[in-house]
Amino acid sequence: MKISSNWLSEFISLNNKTIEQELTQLGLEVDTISKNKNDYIIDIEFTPNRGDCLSAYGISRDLAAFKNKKIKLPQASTFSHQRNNNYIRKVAPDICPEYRFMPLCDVELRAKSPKFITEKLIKSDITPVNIIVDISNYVMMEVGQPTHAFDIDKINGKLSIIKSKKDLTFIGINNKQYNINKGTPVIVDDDDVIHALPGVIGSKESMVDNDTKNILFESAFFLPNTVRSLSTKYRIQTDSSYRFERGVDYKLQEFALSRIHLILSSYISIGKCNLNKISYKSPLTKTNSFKFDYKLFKRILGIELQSNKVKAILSNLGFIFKSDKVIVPSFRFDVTSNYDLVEEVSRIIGYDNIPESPLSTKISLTNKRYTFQDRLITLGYKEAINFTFIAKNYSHNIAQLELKNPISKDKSVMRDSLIPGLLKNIQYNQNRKHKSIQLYETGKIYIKPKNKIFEINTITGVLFGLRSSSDLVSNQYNFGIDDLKSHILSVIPNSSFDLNSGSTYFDDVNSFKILQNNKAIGECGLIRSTCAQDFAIKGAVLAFEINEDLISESNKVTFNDISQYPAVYKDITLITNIDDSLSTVIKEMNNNGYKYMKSIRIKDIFISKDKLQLNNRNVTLEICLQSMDRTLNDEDINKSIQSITTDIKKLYKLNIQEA
Amino acid sequence: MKINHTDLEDLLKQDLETCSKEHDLQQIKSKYLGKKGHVTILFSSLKDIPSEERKAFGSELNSLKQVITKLIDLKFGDIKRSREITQRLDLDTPARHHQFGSHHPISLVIRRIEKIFSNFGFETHEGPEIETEYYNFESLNIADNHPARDMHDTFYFDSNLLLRTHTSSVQIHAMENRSAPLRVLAPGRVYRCDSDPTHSPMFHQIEGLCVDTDISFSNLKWLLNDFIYKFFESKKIKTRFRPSYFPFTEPSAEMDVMFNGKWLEVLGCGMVHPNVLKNANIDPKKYSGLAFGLGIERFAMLAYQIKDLRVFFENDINFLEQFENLRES
Repeated sequence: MKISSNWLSEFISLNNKTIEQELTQLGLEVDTISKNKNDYIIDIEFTPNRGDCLSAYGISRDLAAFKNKKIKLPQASTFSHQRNNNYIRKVAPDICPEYRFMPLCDVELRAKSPKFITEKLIKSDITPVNIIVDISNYVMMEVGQPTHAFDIDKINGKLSIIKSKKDLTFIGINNKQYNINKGTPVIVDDDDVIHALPGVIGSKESMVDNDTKNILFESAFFLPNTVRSLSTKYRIQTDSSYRFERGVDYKLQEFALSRIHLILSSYISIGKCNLNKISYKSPLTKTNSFKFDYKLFKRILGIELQSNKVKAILSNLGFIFKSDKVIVPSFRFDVTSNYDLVEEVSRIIGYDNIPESPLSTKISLTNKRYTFQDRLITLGYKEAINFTFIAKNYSHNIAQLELKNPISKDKSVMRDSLIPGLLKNIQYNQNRKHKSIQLYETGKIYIKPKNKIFEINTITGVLFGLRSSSDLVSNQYNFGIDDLKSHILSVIPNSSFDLNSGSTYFDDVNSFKILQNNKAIGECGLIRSTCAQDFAIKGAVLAFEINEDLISESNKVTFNDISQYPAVYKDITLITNIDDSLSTVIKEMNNNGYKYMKSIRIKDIFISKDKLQLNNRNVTLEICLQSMDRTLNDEDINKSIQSITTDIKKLYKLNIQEA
Repeated sequence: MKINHTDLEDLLKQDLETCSKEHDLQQIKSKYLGKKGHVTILFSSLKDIPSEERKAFGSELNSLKQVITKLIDLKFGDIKRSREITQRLDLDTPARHHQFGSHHPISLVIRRIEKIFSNFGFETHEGPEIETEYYNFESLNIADNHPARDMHDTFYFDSNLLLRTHTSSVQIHAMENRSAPLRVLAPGRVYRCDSDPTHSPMFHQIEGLCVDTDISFSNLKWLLNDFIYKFFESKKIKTRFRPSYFPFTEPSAEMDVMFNGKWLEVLGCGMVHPNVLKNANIDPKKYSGLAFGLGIERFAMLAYQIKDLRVFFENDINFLEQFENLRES
């Protein structure tokens, strides 16, 4: 809200050099202060609890409490109440507990708005319209009470502030048409013509213009919830709704009309005039009071404050002490408990003047660990962070979670995998000529099978292109299955692989399950070419995706004695079909416990051109033999190799190539 | 052995031609000049030669020996030089590139903050990102229709399910799962349906919560000042607290830090509102608590002098690789 510094000065003396600091200390955040001829325009951002400060008077009142000064409301006309039922038929208490109105009859609206009003309004970014609207806005900016003026001659019969009995439409003074549902709070006449949404916006129908002769000025306390519901539902935020939502002073309605009357009567002749009142009991317009708890100040602030000082500050702010109770002023709608009083007192003292005291030391024992992330970094992965919503067509999950109000179509469902995000990153970087892309992300995926939502912590990595783009051409090679396997084995303790049948993002043939302790925890391999094509990626993408919640970190080690005797290495070469899975054979053989065999591993794989047609390959196995208690002789070695090769031939039906 | 001594030179040349290793050359040397070498044998045959021919043969043999020795020595030199060339380190060879990975700056900042607060006993507690109205709003004293909801442009799945708008939603979860006293830190993604150069629909926050029998606003100030000093590695950095408003804290404050002569808002904080404690079945008469929440992107922008929020989620390698040398654990 923008307000002229000179306007505030009409209530309290100001120093333009310190005003920013003072307002900030009070919790009225100053966005900018800009010079405007002999004035300054202060732009203040208010927190939602400070409805009492949304006027020149309100801001000055807070400053006065801070400076230990008293200020007065501006002058206003005085008049006695009358009951006049010519204009209002009904006011529903659950919309408006306090309603005041002032009919002004036979007026001539020829006078222009006085300069002192239009100048101030312009400084507050309010466009002058005509003398009636301008004075209404002026009083709102001056004391915080919104008012509305109806052209009486456009009203059929009387006005009712009630919930609409049927669906209606109206055009607001902003020239927009609104369709109002049955049951919505409205201000309607006897012919069901809407003249305003209470506290939000007036209708064009009864808008005051230069030809208006008879005016009905309204000044009310509309319930904050009612106004809030209307303004959010119909997406209308006006200076009026903004104030009612935050709560206006429930004792200010009459004053606002009296003030309007006083200003208006100096510019146009007003005939006989009276002020009318409709009032209901309501929890929100009842004087609020509670037991004063002085001890809470020390407990919450951690410092000793003198009781006199606390009471003096609160009294300056308008609170009244009556025996052991504190009575809340009608403009402090937000204060409901002693905790609020603690804040009131501390902001007047100044948060920066409250001393610090150390928090007792305590060491956290269970720090979050980032083992897998750190290992991936060592392996060359760069961490990416993507939006967790993706385009609907990227998610192939039936149990997808779709947002009701997405920011755009390509961010409309929650991701069921981190792969679409990372594929997008490959596309982005490939377009920027990167030839080697190695990324990982950790984060949640979201699925909703059978109405239950699961957020699964997931680790996903992608490999694309060259292993390194800055090596000599003769040393360059592309990422392959060996890199992918090595990375997974390095990151996940006790991991192994098994055949996979493909899945949403992984290729049917060229993808594998990742197992840990023989339990499936994820998958890896080649990304489906159709998925890569969705992102216009030119080339193959290798990836892994692991459910982090399933990874077991326990990695028990049992020490094995080290032999003092030399190990012997023997190679045998097999001819096998490319579809035979040797990994499982090797794994089994390692567990078979052959005498003297320490380990067996694949040493080399060779595919010759003439064998390619048969899908055959040569695989060299390296067998390591060692004894714990002696050096092996030729006979030991030959016997061991013999039993191993026999198993390879018979048990696993593989052909050994004779040297 | 009958080797014509004039053929011996040709034989040696043949041998030398195929030889490239020092070891082989040594063998060639002994083949010709060794104890049983061709030249030595020829010399020992001198005594069988008639005396009138012996002198001429002897001098011829000597010159042969000289030629052979010279040829072998030359070869030794050749081998040595060629070895020097093949073994010379060529500094023009580009360094074999070790692909370095890098943590995302957001992760680095989260870890840095976790590390600082772990010294005060704060433990990481993660809550769900898909939340109910209750945990995101109501339990935090943000009633339906409260103007404070203006600050939370919320993504909804249905009328009750939403994407959390702040990590404050973890407060009640943490208090329900752990009993008081407690000290927790809740980092994570949060969402607001807002997108422009200064707002991202997804961003990161860290919520801190400490509940105990004697927690006060002066503790809050001390803790957060100490945090700022540690985070920015300077005790000279200026900070200030000013009143603000969050429905779930009372008093509420905003903390500003002075950068280049200007106050910059860095976090929101306050004393936990008694209603929030009650909602988590913690007696506000016995316990009090402090809470704070901060935006990770803001801290990352300050720490690494990043000016544009959007770079965080583009995952441009040219951006990510700038954090290669940073480790925070």
